Amino acid sequence: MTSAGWLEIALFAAITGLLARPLGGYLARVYGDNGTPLQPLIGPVEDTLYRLAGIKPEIEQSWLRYTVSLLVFHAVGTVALYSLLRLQGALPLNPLGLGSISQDLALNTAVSFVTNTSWQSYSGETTLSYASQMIGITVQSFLSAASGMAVAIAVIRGFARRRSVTIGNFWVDLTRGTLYVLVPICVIASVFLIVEGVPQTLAPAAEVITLEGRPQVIARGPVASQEAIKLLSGDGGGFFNANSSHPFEDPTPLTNIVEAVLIFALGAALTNCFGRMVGSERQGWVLFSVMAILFGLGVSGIYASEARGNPALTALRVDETVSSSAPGGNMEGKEVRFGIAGSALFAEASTASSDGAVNAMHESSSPLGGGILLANMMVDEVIIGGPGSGLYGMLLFCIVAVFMAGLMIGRTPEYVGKKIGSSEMKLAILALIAVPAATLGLTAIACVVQPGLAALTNAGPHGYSDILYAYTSAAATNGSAFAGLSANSPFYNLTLALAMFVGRFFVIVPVLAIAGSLAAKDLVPPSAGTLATDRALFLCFLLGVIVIVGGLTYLPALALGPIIEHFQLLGGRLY
Amino acid sequence: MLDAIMLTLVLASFAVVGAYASLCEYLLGLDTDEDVSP
Repeated sequence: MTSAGWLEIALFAAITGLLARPLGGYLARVYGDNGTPLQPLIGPVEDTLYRLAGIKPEIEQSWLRYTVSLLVFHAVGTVALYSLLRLQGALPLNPLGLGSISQDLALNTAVSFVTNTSWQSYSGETTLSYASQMIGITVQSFLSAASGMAVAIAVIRGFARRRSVTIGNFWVDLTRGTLYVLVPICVIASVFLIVEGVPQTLAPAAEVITLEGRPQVIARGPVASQEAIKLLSGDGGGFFNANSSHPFEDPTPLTNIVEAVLIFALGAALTNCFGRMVGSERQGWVLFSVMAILFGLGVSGIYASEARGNPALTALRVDETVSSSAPGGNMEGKEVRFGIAGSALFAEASTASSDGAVNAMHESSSPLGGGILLANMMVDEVIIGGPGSGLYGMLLFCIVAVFMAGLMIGRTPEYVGKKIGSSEMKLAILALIAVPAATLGLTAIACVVQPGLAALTNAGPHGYSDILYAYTSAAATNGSAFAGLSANSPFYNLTLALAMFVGRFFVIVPVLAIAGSLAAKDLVPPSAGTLATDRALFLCFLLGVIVIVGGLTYLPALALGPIIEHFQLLGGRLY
Repeated sequence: MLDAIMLTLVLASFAVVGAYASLCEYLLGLDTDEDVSP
């Protein structure tokens, strides 16, 4: 480990922390009653969209109508994206003349992007036309992120409102999130990426003659525009198969830090938005602090594990120390321009959020490093998480935490002025159990059936980790892969699609039900017996609940994979 | 044919989530909490 590496990580953390408050304030204005500075510019577009779609923005919805609107919207989106992928061969903007993709892959890809997962069982540059990338993938990246933020805002309203039967209007929240938040930031980020060397063109792949005198085809396309939303949306689906390890997606160390910041920006800001909307920014900072602590532990663990190098190579007297000419450590699967620190930072940001973009091959991480990446996703992506999904996931843990605290002292639990009843608790457990049920259940099935085992390219615990990682990533709507799995098969395409579907919608529905239930309740003024949820004590308690409830659910599964692989590596056995 | 099966699968899945929403509504209706705070 080097001081420059730690400085890079600290710089990232500082920028993210500094952005949280102003961006959180902006989000509160976008979703609140106050106008934003962009209102004069975007307002007419917004009004036109409402008129064309027949939406009355002043009419709010109950939680059930909000949920039905969301489900109808995503059902239409899934069918539309599936159809586009199946018909791309007959559509324009296809300079390479790519044909339609198979039914199971189209279904997997459609569900993947509608659920904000971006699991990719294909190579973007050789499988998808420009039309599919721009109209299909990129559009769904915007809409799935806006939908996630809408759900988070609905939950915040549930906490903030008193005796209300409504939690907002889904169509309005979706539209405002897209127009006022995602589009403006993406325009700025795209221009920055273009300046740094990311291509943005509709021209076909370039054909060049290399220095060796041989012809080479260099894939390119509308990369910068997709790259910006890929990161900001927590989507992570790259234009290229190599994702952000491709120099056209993440060309420089500067873009590396900016891309990592974009991954965290909205998730971090939403904690502050929560604090503002419930009337106490300290409540938001507590959530942010819990996320920051978990992030710090994760990135330190990965950095230390990767910088330590491979003990098997050390035994062969391979020099893995840092020097002026070598980055040192375990550089397998990592880009030299990012080094260990830049790769560890991006991997932590990618798996702690729901983004899933990669600038290094997670498959090549050390067993402990890979185990931390898995653990990040296993705690339900609450370490910043995706836009919206991170906050509502964290609020589920808050409900569990105050409930447990209430049991200890014999009081009805409260959180930010709302009494938490048994129904909210049941719904929170339903939401929290959906992801582990999908992950562990489908992993178990894949480990014992022939189509599941046939896709493995690694043996032993590492092969098992490949399967576990795939379902964990899918159910947590992350989308990153260990890459040791040949997952483009009907079995994996369909079962991973199921995991993504359950991980997204079987969480969102109970979360919105909780929002509706809380909104209908009155606010309870704090009393002498109220657990202060804006103090360090609650912060520690919440941390404990996340680690125990979220982490220990998966400990046996982790023990069979990365943990046993680590000890076998120390014994000189490799997989 | 396979396309029709896939699209039916998609719509059926969303219908299941809709039914799941009804279950959540039912759970909310069961709330008989009493405030146990002193």
